Amino acid sequence: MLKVDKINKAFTVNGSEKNILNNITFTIEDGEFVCILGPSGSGKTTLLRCIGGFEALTNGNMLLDGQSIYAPGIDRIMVFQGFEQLFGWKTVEANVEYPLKINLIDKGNRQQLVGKYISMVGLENYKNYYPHQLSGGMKQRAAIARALALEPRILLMDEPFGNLDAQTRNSLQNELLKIWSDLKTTILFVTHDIEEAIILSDRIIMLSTSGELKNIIPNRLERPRKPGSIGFAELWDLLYNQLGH
Amino acid sequence: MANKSKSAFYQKALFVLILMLLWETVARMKFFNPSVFPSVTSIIIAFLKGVSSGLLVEKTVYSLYLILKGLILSFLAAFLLSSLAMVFRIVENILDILNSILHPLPGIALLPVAILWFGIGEGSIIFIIIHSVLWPMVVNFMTGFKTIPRIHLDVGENIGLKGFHLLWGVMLPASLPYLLSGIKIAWARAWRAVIAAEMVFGAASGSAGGLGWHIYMTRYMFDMAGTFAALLAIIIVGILVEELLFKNIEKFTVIKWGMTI
Repeated sequence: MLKVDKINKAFTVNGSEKNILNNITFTIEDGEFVCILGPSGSGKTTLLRCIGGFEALTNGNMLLDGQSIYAPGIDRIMVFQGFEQLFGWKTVEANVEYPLKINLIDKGNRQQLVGKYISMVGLENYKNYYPHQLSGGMKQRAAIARALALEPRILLMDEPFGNLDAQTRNSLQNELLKIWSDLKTTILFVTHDIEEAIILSDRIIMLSTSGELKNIIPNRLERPRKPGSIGFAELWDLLYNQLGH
Repeated sequence: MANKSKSAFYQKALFVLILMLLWETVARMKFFNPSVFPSVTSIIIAFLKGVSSGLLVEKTVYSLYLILKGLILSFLAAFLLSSLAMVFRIVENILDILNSILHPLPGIALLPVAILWFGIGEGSIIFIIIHSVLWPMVVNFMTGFKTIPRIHLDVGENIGLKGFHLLWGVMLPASLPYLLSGIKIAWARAWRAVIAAEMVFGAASGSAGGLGWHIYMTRYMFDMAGTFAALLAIIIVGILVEELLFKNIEKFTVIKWGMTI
């Protein structure tokens, strides 16, 4: 369980203090798929980076399974939007294996984990490819495999499909949902795309432009969800209006 | 790809051949005194003689030994200093000012000082080499480290890399294009430094001296073909190192990884 308790984050921009996150509180239960939705500049990425331990909080508390978060750790693995998150000097297989090696997982277990997660994202035939030889979608699949292989307590995803074409994005959303229902991983997923938030999440945390928590909206639509599904349009309208349009 | 590199090879070879033909023609026409402008044929003969007698090989090997020693020491120092500069702001500032002070100073200008400090010998030459190559290496390494995408470092920290492991596992490979260009510049600078330093006190350095001293001596003996043969040796070593060593390192690293084209 992730507990985010009254956190604030301010940056100093051009000499003046700017509040990015204002007094944000929420809880994420184990196995939940939660999306953070907000307009650009609302601090979505900053919030995720704080939970990842990449940014220090100005004040407030964050607890993962009762343990305070203060630095990056393998219990919270981040999948980024940028394609260059893979190490270009390693093959897909080596990219997935490397974090396991660093964390002293023995060779037998390593190979088993690498094989399992590479096939889970459908890259068996590309495991010896270097990142620059892959399409954008394949790179994000590889990054997801690398993140999953460490079996983190929570997977942090920062608009991982934001740079993909619509078709690839749809198929990756479906595969992510399948992986999630197989593994029961907890996922916190940042997006600015209302449709994506509806398709993926159990709950949607909405941030406002000023970096405040606007609302937490449960999403109980039946899966699989498509824009034509019952209740989809209503939820879409609700979120759209909440975003301040 | 194979065709492209093949045609590149032919273009380069053709260019060199034309250059040699032009040289030979000018020499044969005796525009200049043959003893100051030797023909390509006489240079090649002198070169082959030097190689078969072992003299030219010995001189080249000695100079290469000095260069290698200087390069390895400089690489270690440059890598250490640039890494420290990434961690400690004060090291970066000190390197910055040292670079401003020392980089523009020609190595040969420091030779009198080097002789006083290290005596006439290998120590002084190594000092000059290190001075000549350390600064361009540091500049390149620092640029390499500073242009590593933030996301690589984030991922590195996320998967549990810290300190030396982050340096070795992420920063080194991620900045390899810059490290390689730093080493290439250093290699060329080291040649200039060693030849210049050897010309000043070559043979006195205990052993029989390197190529720089050989160039000086052949000119002193008015053996211009011999002088050019020594230059030819430098050129050949340069081409071999560039085409066989550097090109292959690039082919199996930065090109294979799609970091450079």
